Amino acid sequence: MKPIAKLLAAGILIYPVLLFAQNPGEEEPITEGQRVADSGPIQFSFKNRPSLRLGDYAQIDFKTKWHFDFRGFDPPRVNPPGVVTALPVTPDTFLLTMARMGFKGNVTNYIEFEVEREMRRTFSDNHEYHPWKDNYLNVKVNRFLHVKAGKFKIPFGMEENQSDDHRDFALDSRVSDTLAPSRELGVMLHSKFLRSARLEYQVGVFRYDGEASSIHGVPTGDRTYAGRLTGQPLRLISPLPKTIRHVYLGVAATRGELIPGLNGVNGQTFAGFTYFDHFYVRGDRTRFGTELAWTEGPIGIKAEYIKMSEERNGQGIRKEDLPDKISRGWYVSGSWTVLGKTTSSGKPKDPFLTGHGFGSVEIGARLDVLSFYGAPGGKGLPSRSPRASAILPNGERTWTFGPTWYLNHFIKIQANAQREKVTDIARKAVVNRTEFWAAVIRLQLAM
Amino acid sequence: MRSRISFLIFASLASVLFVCESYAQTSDDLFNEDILHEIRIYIAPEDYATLKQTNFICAEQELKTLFGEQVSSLPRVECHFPIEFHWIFNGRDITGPQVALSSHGRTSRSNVKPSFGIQFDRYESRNTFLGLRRLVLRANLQEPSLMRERLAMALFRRMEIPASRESQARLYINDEYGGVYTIVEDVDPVFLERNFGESSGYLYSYDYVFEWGLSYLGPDPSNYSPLPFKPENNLIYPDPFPIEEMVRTINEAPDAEFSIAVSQYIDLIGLFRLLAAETFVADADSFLGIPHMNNFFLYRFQNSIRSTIIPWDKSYAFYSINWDIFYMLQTNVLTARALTAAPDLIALYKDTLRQAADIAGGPGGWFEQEVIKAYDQIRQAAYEDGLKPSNEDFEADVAYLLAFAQQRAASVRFQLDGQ
Repeated sequence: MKPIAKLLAAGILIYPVLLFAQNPGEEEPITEGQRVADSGPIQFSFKNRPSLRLGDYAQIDFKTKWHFDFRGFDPPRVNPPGVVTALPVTPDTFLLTMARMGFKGNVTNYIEFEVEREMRRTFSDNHEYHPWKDNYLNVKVNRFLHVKAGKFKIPFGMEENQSDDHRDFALDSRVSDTLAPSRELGVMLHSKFLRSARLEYQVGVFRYDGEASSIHGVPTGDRTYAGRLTGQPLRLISPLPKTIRHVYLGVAATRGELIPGLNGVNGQTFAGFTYFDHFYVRGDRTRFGTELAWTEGPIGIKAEYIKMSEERNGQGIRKEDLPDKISRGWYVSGSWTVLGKTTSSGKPKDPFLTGHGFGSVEIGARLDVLSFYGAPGGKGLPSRSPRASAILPNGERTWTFGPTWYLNHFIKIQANAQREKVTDIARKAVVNRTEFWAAVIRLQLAM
Repeated sequence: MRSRISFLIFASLASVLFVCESYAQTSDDLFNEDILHEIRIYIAPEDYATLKQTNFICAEQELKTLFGEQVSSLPRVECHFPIEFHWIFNGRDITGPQVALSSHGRTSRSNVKPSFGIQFDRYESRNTFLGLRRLVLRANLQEPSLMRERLAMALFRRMEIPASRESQARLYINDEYGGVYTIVEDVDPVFLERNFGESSGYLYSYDYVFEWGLSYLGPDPSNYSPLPFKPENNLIYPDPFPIEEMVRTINEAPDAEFSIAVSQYIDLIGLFRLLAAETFVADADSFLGIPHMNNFFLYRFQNSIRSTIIPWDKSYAFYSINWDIFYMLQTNVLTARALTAAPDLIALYKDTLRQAADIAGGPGGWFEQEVIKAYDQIRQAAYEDGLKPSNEDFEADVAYLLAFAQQRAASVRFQLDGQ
């Protein structure tokens, strides 16, 4: 079956589900209690997604997320992932960037689970190294201790830990994309505590360093430990203005042993042009991150800072120890809902198609800065040789902006433009330019 | 008193100038053919082991990608490695601290005695070594005398044909003797600037991937580039269209307009001079090689559709003393058509052959002296080079080159006069 035919087939499959999902919630709202009482031990509901409920014992929700992207680049060339190319290629205008299906649910009040798989390869030729996404079991031992085991996101990075379908921009920040670890197999202890400050802790150990730091799907870091503390601690300081007390803050760290080799994190533009190559590393990889989010009415601000250091023990040409390689970045983003209103979960209060409104429109902008350099102590002239003692720094500064139209609970359309400016293009004479533009119009279907 | 002060000032200035001179080595010093150089490279042992593991994979992978095949990025294949590069000259150690090394060659790759590509600018595009961006360290495995490459290029340069400067060196890898290598100036922006005064045009290396003699392959530019004309620069906008136009014109231009039409696309005078020089040295693996074209660069001048041809790799030069000077012209559409449609170019070809014969000379001539100089220079190092063919093969090949030097000019003149 051709990719376009597969997409049509998928659309035909999903469309009735979406339509069916539109009605019950509006015309005859059903409460949780009503469903159980009215329909016996086994019920279907379609409030926000198809859901199967077995009395009070278990619930299984069907999930799916689709991203249909229309893309443009300047220069109009990309280095596609997953293949070795002699020359950059002209990208397809249309790309299916997400086609996920799965289940999420719970068994009693103590066990939660999720199974999710990326199905892009089924519907298109798009590359995917890690098709299995969130696949875990979460056991609520008690109020202060939950144990999560399986594959899920390592607790590091605010943007990275936000669900893909809830992000403000179609294009992730280069900082999160490059430095946050993403998913991995592991075990994590977590829970909310000190409810007045809405604090949450997450502490885990993971098989590798996360899929995001893998190179062509092969891990670059071994067993990794991670911890994260988030919440609204300013709520505890009652003299502060209410709007300040609602500021969300977080701090996180990871540490793990690097797999020796040419495994340092590299820097690439969104189109796949490398401006900072992999370095030889050996020792530990350590991340430290802070996060901040603040929302007041239609306005929201988010910011994140991540610093990663990678040791280079014995990685000189003559086996000498080299100073750590440092990768550091931050972003600040702002959003403003200019039309319509949204719920606290970000969904439009007056939905389009499923209601009588037009949804809501949000505009946003983000600046993110990512840089790579060496720790002090490097000898000789700075170089980008993967065994250089003094690393020649490089980085990029990226602006992303554009509107998002939240049509209803299931559909949103995002239009993003992104300008990347590499600070030292002399590193890549092939590209011979400092500015890279990318534009994406994304249709998202999710439930 | 005044004269003593003047002497002191003069002596001081002379001393300063001498010191400056001794510290200011140039690329001409590196390519000084009068001495056997010493080059030392230091590479992490695990990198050198990886280079030998990926040696053939890198070449194969590059070829597949140029053919447009989908080559998985797994397993990861490393083809470039950081090294320290040391050139020992007049007792001084001139160093390039972070330089990239890769295996060089397509069909000539070897794990016993690999040829190397040296890139001084890979890790910092502004980095150079004596003003050079790249070098090739050629292992000369295909020629027992280890000197054919340098001899051919020396003749070309003497004929004022743009060609790589070359010299020879003892190469040490992590302080172990690696054998006699030829230091070859790569065809890169530095070479282009030096020979043509510009480097912003389009540079292609010709890759022998199928037997082809410039017959028209159709209007699709992808039939010509990235293979067999592999872009060496401007990778985002390689612009292969003028190559298709060039080949179409070579094939379709009417006889009466052949020279004028084709010369829009190629420097025909430069080309036919080069062809004569390559024929004189009986290069069996060149533009007029057996069975078809190989081993050249095509450089299209900036803001122009006109190109020039630059020679490369003379490992198969001096193939035969009585190499036919006209036969191979029939193997290529351009030269075959020139035989009938461009008598002026054929005349130039013959004149240049005669010039080559004059420069090379016969017994005791310049070319024989060059062979003797090279032999005296590298003999001991070659004997110690256990990775080359045997010492007997070395001596036999040198003897053959001496015979070539003594007899080739007469053979060429005989063929020219017989016409």
